[in-house]
Amino acid sequence: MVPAFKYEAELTQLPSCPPASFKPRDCSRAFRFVYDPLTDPRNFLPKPLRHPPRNAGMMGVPSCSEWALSFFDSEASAQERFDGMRRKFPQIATTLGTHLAAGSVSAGDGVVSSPGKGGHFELHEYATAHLTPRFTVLRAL
Amino acid sequence: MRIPLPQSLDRFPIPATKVRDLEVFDGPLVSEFRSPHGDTYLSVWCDADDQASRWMFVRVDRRSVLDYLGKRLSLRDVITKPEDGFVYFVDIATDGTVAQVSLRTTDNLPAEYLPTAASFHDENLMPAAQASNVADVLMDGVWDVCRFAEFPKKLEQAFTFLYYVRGNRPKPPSDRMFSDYRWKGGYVASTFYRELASMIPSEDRPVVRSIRYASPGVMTFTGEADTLGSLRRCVADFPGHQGASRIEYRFVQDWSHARVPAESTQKVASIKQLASLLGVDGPLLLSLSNDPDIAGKILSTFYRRIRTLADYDAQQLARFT
Repeated sequence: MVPAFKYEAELTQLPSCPPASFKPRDCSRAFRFVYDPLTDPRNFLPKPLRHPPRNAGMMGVPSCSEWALSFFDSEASAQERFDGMRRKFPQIATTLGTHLAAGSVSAGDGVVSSPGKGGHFELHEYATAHLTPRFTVLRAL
Repeated sequence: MRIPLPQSLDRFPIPATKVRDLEVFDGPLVSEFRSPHGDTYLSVWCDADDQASRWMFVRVDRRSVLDYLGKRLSLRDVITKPEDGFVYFVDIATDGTVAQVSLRTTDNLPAEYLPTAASFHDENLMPAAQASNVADVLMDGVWDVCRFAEFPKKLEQAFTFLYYVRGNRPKPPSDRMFSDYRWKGGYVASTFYRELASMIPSEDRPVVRSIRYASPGVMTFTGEADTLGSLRRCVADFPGHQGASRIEYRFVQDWSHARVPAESTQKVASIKQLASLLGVDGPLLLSLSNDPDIAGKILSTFYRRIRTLADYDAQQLARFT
């Protein structure tokens, strides 16, 4: 039996969410933008539940992707993406995080996408997933 | 805290609606809006605190959007050289209401919000799938008659393959084309695609809506939205796997032309591998064709068409936006 997703009620409102290509998978090294300390309640919340959400009012409604958590498969990929966004959006840390954390994602945490060209992948969490204890803050971004 | 800006207007005066997101990461960062009068606006996220997100709205020429996506224009240039000479700062509260609107001329923009000179478009930030039935293709370089004939044809053929080889695909009679078609004689692939394309309902077919030939120019297609999104993704992803897919393609070609022996299980595995690299449903293609030899031939034709479209992209002759 497929475990329930943490945001099952929201995902069922969206077509093909999570996409069929998302599979349970062990990722022994995963990197994520966070706030320091790691116990900051925003750190493992999907975007629509953070305040303020970027997709609200005239900006639209959250897509399936926004209910997933973003990770990178390497420290270099994460830093490169952050630096690229900071060039365009100098205040990006206020919405994504100020630090880089490292940890792992297991097949029991949910379903993940394959890493894209920039090493980015997404996790739709199962209801039982609890990632905070498996991550540590590496450094400021 | 957001950087304090004095309120200039009591509401956002443009009843613009969102057309699409151009860049996203955990939500939109740059989006395109259209006003009822047809004016194009870009919204660029610039700040947030616990109470609201702040967006810069600028009216831009449609060409500027394409130039930004084509990396000919930086985001800094888009923001500092808008059509009107000013920028709206719109604060949107958590409940979605517009909390404040400020207006600044471009010579008086907060430095904290200005992108750097190297703030060019990043394909990695494009949404995975744009559910739009319109695709703009940026054109550049020299387009002789052959290119004008070849590009739309390859695009239509790749579109046709993807239209049928997908999860929510339409039902037969198209299925028979995959299993009954005789892959013998001359121009078999062209005939296969022509007949298959003729079965696509007219409202879903890819159509060239406009061509503006300049440097840069733009060719606009319409077609079924999911298929256009898949096609855009297949072309964009091709450079990332072209080495691996070339090897797999050659193997498929070798056994499908009986140049090397291969067991049925090897054939199926190589079709699945090549299909996976190309981002298409290999098992579905195998079940439609009911024969790995035919599936291999069909998939090889699709590979060559995506490779051609990716070549246009690599040479910056034609780039999907």
